[in-house]
Amino acid sequence: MRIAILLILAVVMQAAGNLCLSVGMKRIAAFASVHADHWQATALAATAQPLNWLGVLFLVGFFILFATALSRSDLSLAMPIVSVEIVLNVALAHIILHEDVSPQRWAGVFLVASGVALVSLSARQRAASLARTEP
Amino acid sequence: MIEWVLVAVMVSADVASDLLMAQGMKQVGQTMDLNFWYLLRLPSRALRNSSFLGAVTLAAVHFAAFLALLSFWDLSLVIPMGALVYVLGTCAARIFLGESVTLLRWAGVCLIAAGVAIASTT
Repeated sequence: MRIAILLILAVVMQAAGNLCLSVGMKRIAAFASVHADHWQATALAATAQPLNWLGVLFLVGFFILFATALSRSDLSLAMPIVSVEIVLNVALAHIILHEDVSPQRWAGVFLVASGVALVSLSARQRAASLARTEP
Repeated sequence: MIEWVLVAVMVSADVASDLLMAQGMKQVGQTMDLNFWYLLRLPSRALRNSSFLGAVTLAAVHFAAFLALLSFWDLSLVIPMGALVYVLGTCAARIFLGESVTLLRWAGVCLIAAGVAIASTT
């Protein structure tokens, strides 16, 4: 039960981190296009953007929570989480950032999420068969 | 077109970082644990391992490309692009590591590739 809470918190933190970074980097975008030939100035501007730091903080939090959750369960839990993350990130990008997500993009997103789910299923099968062949 | 270069850098750096990390951990004799607290207690020889350092560097490159991409594209487009690591990773595992890839995994890879292609047309 504790693991589920950790995972939910981790997933939310990851999405929050990506949302912050997306907004933060969009704010840099105008600066970047003006200073296209001086990427160093753009990089410096990126580090001065507080939203970027908040985003990084959220992602660090996600990593800690996720790693803690995995240490108490097994690695095969990792990839279904990625599947959920992909859909959650896009949904929150639409709801909170008001991004225009067309039906085609949604279709693509669900195909990607399904593909990741299949890959994780195959990893789980592989882990199970390896465990069976162990003496 | 710089955006697609960034996608290529982001995806390949991620895959290469994972491969190097696995290699580095194996060389140091540690199991690949995603345990944060375990990583904090890594012996110093792990930190001096060139594969490990290479993996960390490439992870930074991956993140930088991800950030740069976010300045151009919507998050709802960048996130699915990230899933291309499964496509590249599977191909790399097959070609360079000689791993056998199940039909199920290939099916997943195809779905991801198709999904990215469709999502990027908008």
